[in-house]
Amino acid sequence: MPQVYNWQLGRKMEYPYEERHPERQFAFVFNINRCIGCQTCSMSCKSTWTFSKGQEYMWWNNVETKPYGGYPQHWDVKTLQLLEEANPDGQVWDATQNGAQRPYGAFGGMTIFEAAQRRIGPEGPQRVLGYLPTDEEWRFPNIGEDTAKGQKGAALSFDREGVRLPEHKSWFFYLQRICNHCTYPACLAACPRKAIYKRPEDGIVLIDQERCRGYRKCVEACPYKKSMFRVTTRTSEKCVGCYPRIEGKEPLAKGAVWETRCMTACVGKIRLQGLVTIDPKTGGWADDPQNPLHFLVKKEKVALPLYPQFGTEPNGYYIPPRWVPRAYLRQMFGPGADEAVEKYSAPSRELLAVLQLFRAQQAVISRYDIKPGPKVFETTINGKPWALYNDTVIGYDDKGRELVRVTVEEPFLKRPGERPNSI
Amino acid sequence: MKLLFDDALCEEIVEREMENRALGGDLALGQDFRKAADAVYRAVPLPKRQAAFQGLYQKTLSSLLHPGRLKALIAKMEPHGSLPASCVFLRAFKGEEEGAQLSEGRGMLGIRIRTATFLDEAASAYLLRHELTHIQDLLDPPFYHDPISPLGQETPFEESLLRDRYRTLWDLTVDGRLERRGQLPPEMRERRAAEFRSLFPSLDEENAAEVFGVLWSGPRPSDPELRRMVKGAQELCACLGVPLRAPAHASRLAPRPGGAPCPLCRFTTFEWSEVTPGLTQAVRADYPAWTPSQGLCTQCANRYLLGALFAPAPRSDDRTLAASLTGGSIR
Repeated sequence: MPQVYNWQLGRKMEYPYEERHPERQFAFVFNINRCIGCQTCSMSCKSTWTFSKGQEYMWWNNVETKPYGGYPQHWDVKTLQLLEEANPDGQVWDATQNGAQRPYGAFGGMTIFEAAQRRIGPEGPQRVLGYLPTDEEWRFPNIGEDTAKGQKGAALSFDREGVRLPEHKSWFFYLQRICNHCTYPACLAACPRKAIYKRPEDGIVLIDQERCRGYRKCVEACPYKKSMFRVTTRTSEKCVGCYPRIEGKEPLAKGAVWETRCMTACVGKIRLQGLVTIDPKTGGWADDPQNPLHFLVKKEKVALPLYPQFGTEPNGYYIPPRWVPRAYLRQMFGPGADEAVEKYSAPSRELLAVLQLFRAQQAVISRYDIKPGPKVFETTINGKPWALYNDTVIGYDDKGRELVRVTVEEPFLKRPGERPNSI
Repeated sequence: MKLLFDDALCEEIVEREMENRALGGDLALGQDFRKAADAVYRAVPLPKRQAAFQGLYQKTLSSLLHPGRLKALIAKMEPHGSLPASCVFLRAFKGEEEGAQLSEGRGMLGIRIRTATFLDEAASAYLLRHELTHIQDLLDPPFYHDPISPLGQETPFEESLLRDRYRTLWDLTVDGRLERRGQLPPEMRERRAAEFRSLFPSLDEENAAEVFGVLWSGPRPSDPELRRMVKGAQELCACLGVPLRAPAHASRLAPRPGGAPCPLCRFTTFEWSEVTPGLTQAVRADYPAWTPSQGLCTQCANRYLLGALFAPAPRSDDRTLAASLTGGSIR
């Protein structure tokens, strides 16, 4: 089987196809700390793409409450369990081996592509380790909503110390999920019809509806369970990354590249989406320090991939919730979780400025600049001095046109005393 | 009897059967199905594709042995003449959803069944025999089934309890009959006995076993008799001619039957709380005359437990609170 380089794992891994990369890659960062679970993103996606017959249970975007929620139910636990069964006690990271090529260290365990070869079925070894969720597991997209993990051995008890930082003992958080448009998509690898492809211009993964013959191998293979079967057409469907917007065909955008529906609809301002340039020599992200996604993922390392150990190199990144026990975060986001939480808890001057770009407008920001402002506040965080500067961050599109200009400190706008619409 | 299968159930049965056979090394069914499916993708226009697939799954199911097995089983039910002429099988997700129901005009029977039960020969045979016996009772004129009148008189809570009792008593008389015909899985008797005991907790163990035995081995009760029996242990024993003995621990137990009102909030409850000394103290602050033997519902207990937790807590000053929220000290 061909070998491909997965930078999130810090090593080469087996994948059914030769390594190939798009010019630019659709990518996004979700700041879990800010999500209020309002489901506006879910509804904006549903009302745009999955409102038809046969799509009733289809939520390309969903927000689930962790640790108990899941759509489909138990999707992550089941895949983790399959991996553990294939490689008992072997799913470990060596975080000491980190560097530019392996920011989270080296993963010593098995990916879903490697572990699949240990599962020999009647048709030979599987291409991708996975399972097909039952209809029942798809029925409740928001099951477990707001159900907190409590103290061990003291169910339903009140814990006065339950919500003290740095790690809450009683906790939950919202996990926002769309297709990760993976660099090494499991759905693509598993499709016996070669109906799934990754676009060379933006890395968006699509299913060719003409070629699909409803084998459901993509549903079985995608570890994030973001490929879904539609009974009316008998084909699989998935998030299309709102590609008309990425192509600049959104009528309201007048030719500009706009972020997807779920991103722009976010009222909590937790989402930032864009396109990162891929270095054709290495296949990794080109050095683009003024791209906000590059800054958050590569430089600041505050945004982490979801379950990187699955091995698909997902292009969705998450700023982990800072109140959640670290062991859980390490399992979900890899060994970079501690550093990410630490950095987010006492954000650097640049990080604080870049965070202001989240949902500041609808177009894709390709580059940002920061104009320094005065110091407006100082304190100590975790025993270290910390200062707040009222810097101004400016976002530009891919043609260098200014899109947005925001300050770190929220401006105070005084309304005139009397207005026609005053209440 | 004509058997019909709902499309979702049919598809799941066929898919599961193909999977099971493939795991056993037999790929033929899956390959044949795939060949037929490919033809549908090629030839049938998109708007008609779903219907074409439904037809394909139905055809595949009819080629399997399961429908014939069920048909033969139903044909052996005595007296099968009383059953409706057709039966539709619908998909259930959970065990408690499994069961049978008659259509409004009683011309059609619906059976909800899980795919796993359907494919398990012994489990599906028991479910079918059990449910069809219920249906035969229901259609039998001397059963005097009354589908309209409520079981209780007062509250929805009471109705729900009586309905549970009615269902359990009827279930156990059905299973008693199945056992006599040699058609009952061995674990069912104990399960029914446990269900029965949980719904008549005021009967002591010996008395409960005696009543259960009479119901299990005795003649089938009619709907009016069942309605009398569900009212309580006294009525149940009187109907069956079994003497009611007061349980040995009766004096210790406060009269707190399920569905009685909580003395504090006055809402009917089926969930009585354990009473601890701390809880007693908290409740007595508001209700000095209340005694633990009167009991209280879990909602009231939670309210007083939480009240006790919050009331004496010393308040943190703002600085400590802010520090605890940020995980550090704040100047």
